[in-house]
Amino acid sequence: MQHEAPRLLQLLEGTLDPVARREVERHVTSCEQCAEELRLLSAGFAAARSLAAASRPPASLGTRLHAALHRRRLRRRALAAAAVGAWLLSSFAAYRLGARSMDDRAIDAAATYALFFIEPDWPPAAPLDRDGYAEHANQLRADDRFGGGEKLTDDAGWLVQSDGRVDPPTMNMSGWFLIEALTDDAALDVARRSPHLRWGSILVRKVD
Amino acid sequence: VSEADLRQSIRDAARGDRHALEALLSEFGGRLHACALRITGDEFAAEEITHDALLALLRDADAFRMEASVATWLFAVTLNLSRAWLRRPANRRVVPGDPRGPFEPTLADADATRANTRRHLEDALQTLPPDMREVIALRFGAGLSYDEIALALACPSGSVASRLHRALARLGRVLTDRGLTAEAF
Repeated sequence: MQHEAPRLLQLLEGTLDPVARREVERHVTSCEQCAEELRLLSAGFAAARSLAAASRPPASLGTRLHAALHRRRLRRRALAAAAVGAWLLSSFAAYRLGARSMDDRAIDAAATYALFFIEPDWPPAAPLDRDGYAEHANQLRADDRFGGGEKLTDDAGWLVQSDGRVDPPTMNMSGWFLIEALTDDAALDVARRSPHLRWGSILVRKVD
Repeated sequence: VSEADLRQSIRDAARGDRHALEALLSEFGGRLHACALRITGDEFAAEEITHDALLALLRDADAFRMEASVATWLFAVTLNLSRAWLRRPANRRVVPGDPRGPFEPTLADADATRANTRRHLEDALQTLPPDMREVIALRFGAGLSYDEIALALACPSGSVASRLHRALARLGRVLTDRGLTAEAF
């Protein structure tokens, strides 16, 4: 008797034609060895398929990629600007030297910054109804400096302590922006123009 | 999505078009993540690998001359990044074991049972050797055809079915030994 092991996977994948399927099914009912093989294969097949359906990347992946690409474009522009500036100021030899060092500085300086919108009082007494954030984001987007942002809900949230205990938070924030800037001062300027300063302070941090 | 549309989306996304980026993510994000997760068994690593593979694609979008399809290229890169992650000493598993003990179905609510079952399945999968996890990841995580898997693994097309058969039967054996049958999932 010829065993059907090579066609068992096709049976599960549903790729056998009806005649072949009946042959394999008939064989399995009379062959203990192939029946056992099919049982194991079915368990593995069903498990692999159910795991595949459960996987999903985190929603922040798009924002991270977008920010990384922005940063790269900004670096390229800085590089071009540095090269032009150096050419205007110097002889050909000096241009080559100068451009190289300015390129390096521009590349080192281009960075992503996170702006955390800190709230003095939280949770808010009434639901937050604030304006200006979207406009600010659009302005930054037009300058190619916006890397993403999120608004948090009005809930207080939780503070998980190092021992696992959960307390109400002692400080809080209502959202964040990711922005691109060539210098720390430029990032702070963006924060100074944020509508959030009407209600709270902003923590500015450089993303590693 | 046609290959030409995909390549256009890649160029647009690289230039900052958020919609094109979202389209690429919906086409590949979940499949790349599932593939890396099946091989590494690590959520954080899977996210980093997905991010790095897509960024590699987008960074050189203009200069890119892909001889294979976008999908084949992306999954080959994901495979390489996953292998590199496994090679790092800190990520090597010493002895594949069963830290959770035998599977015991409970009468808890349906969501908790599903999550519990999934953890057991993930654990069982991670006891397989990496090359077996790879072929399962490419078929069921990435959803590739046997021919595409052969390209990604650089092996003859005819050997994919037998590799997959061996890997799934081994997974089935581990699950059966642990008391998990196909009815549980």
